[in-house]
Amino acid sequence: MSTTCRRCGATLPPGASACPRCLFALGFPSSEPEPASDPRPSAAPRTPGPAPGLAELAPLFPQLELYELLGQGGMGVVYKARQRQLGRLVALKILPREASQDAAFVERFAREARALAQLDHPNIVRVHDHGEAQGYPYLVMEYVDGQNLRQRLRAGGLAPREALRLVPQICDALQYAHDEGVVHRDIKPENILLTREGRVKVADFGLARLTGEPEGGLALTRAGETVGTPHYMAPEQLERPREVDHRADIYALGVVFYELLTGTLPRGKFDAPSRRVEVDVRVDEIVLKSLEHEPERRYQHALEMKGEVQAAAAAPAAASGTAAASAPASAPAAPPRPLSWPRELVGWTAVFAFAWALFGWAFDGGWGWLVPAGLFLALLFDSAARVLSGAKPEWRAEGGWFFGVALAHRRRGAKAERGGAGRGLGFALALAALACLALGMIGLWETTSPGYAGPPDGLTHLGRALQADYPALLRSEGAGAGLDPERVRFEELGTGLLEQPGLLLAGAALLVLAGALAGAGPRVSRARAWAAAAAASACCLAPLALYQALTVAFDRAPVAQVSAAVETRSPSLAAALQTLPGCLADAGYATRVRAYVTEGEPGARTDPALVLAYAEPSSPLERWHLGLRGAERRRPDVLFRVRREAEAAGAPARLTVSADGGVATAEQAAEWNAWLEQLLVQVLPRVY
Amino acid sequence: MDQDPRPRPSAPAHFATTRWSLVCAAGASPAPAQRRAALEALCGAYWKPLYAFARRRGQRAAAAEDLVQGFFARLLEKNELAVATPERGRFRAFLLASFVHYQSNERERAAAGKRGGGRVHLSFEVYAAEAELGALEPRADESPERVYERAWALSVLERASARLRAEQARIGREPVYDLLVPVLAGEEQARSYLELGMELGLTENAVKVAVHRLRKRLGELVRDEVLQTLDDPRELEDELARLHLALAGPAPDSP
Repeated sequence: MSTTCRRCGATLPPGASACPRCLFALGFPSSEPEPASDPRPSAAPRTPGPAPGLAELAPLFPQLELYELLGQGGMGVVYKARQRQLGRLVALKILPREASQDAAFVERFAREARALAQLDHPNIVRVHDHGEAQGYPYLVMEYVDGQNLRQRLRAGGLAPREALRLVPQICDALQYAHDEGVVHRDIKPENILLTREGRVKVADFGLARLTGEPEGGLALTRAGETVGTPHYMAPEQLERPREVDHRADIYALGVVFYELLTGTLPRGKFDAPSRRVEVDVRVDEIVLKSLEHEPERRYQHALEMKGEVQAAAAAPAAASGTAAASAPASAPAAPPRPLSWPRELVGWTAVFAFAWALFGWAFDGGWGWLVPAGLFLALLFDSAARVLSGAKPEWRAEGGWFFGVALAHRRRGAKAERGGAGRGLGFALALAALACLALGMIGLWETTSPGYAGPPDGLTHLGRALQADYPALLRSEGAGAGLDPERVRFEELGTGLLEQPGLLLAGAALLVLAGALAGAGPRVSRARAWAAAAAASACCLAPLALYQALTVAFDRAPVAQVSAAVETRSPSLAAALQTLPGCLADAGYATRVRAYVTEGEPGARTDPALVLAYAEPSSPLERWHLGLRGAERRRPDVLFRVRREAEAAGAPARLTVSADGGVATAEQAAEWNAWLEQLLVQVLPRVY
Repeated sequence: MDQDPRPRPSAPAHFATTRWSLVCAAGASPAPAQRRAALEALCGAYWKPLYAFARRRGQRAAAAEDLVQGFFARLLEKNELAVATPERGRFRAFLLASFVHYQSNERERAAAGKRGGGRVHLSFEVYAAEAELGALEPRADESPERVYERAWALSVLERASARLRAEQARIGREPVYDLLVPVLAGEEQARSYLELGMELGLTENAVKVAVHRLRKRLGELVRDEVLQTLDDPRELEDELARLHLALAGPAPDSP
């Protein structure tokens, strides 16, 4: 079907963006002056012609007593009136007359008006009646005694608190209408009325759609005038007016919200509301989210927005990063999702406890429970960082945690979602950090648990103490064997991984970094994210510390000592000295310190008379058993002694190898004795 | 060659005025190569109307293409400008008259099994032309001549628009042009200047100015394009009016 140009009547080729004839006519000389390039406002907004006078209208509405003209806008004229029969005040809205020239419009008007009349909500202006009087389509509506938000804004603006009180009411109205299948399409301050009692009443639901439908040749809007008000229109409303859904209202509400807070429109690169007025940064998040370009990334329901606005309103305006820890707890019960912070915590703790029990049973204690524990800690961290940073709790509602959401956002290719990848990386880092911290904690258990204050013979394996004590031990050992204590040689082969305090520091640093990355989602300030990360780290460390405290408190068994010795002959202790670490490594032990006493002069290459080697299980998995009862030492640290006893000249030397290990309980002594013997049997044949 | 009755100064500035005058110029002042280049440019610009004309006269797409190609080949090779026509001063009229002439000759030649020319080949985009032909929507009672005129006017507009777009592209204002094209016609717009301005990052007033300037420039370019096909610049207004009429609705006087 071809259409015709509305200007010149020429037939338009299909698909033509402009009438070729009109374009061609530009070739004729014209003297149209160039519009002034002065950016003064060109003209007052176009009005749809003179409003019909009261005298003109009165005969058309015998049932009404018309009082005065209340207002005039692009979509009609509103009069204050009284229904004679009921005596109630009403607002009579007369739509432009041209509209009724079109039969299709009249029919659609009747249909839409019926739908509007169905809307019954305390925050929506009620439509009592509708019809057509002598070519004027009209609506009889509830009369609202008050002013609209535009008038209110002009009269001196609103306090942020007031804005936070009004927006949830608008949300209610929108949610109700959306549930009824009605999209407003023209939310703006002019359409939001405020009763004297301070209640919000949203007017003109669906009228934009009614009067703005471009189909059917209906042109209610004058040339150059658009349906809706551009500043409040969602991008898709401008680009694809027919695909508009309820989320366009949410966008418009975002604009109104911003305007209520700041008094200006969010145009171009605009400031976050909290930079202009004293509001919580979470309000920024709400406004920005409702102003997202893509409808999918806005609030999907007005109710969701309402919940967050209320939560932000309930929280004190000044919520700094460190003080924020207590703030989320006061989040009121809002919409069913997202979960509030305490509920979330309780829920995850329950899940964790169940998982722990399950894994503990399945793995008979052991390290299996680290899986749920790690997961729990990560989730805890996630929750804490998210809530404390004031980031978006509705990410949960979108169906995922930091990590999941980050991936989802990346998949959608939402470039604007800054920090999506950062959050994913942050989450991974958080896991790494927690692993470091857990290992560091095990180190702490080693050093603080009374059962394992140190290896036998007062030999402590703590850093410098080790180096100081070991020669003393050797001297005493050597003296017992009649050797010169001055001829002690000492080698530290390595310190245990778990004793490195750096591990704890690294873990904490990683955690904070992770938090910064994770919290630095869209529009969460970096400082806030860091503070939140630190607080979240503390939250995560608290259960670990608690666990540590419990372990120490209940692990009060005395230090015991077992030793096993096997006597054998050896031609040389030098060979034992060299091979011992390798043998122990094969048995799953790491040799930390090795020392020997020589018989000859210091520095001379003589065969050692006494060799000591201190070793500990090389893997934390071998050292500790993390069961339901708490942390248990699984294998002892051992002290190997290889001594040559020269009884008589020419007689074969006797080699005594013994191993000492600390134990915690009496039951363990027998177990560990057997274990040490086994170790000796493994090691001995290779030592000589 | 027929004689141009008007005296023609040989100042080079004047040669550059219109292509068609260049082609028509008497004497040896423009070199044959120059004439030929001018004619070739004109033919390249206005093959679509001829194609539409041929199609409207019942030729199939391939045949119409062959015919137009053959015609141009002949026109350019043999320099057959000797066709007598009362409207010799306008390239549009000349081209149609020559083509009709050629077509009837060609029919005879085809009957004799001969096929002429083909060495000169202008590149046509017949597919595009076919699509536009659909867009032209010839009405049942419309004569091929009217279709020809309408296609001609569209070609003029197309060339002018392309030039305007290229000009805008040179100064990096292509997006502005693309967005404002529908507005240039001045009909009722779906979108206000304010909205367009928001999209372009301009004020409403700046959009108005931009539209005005684009309109003005498009008008100049349309005039220039039409002028290129005229021998006598005084005929410009008449030709413009005629083409404008051709773009109107159903023909008031279909033969």
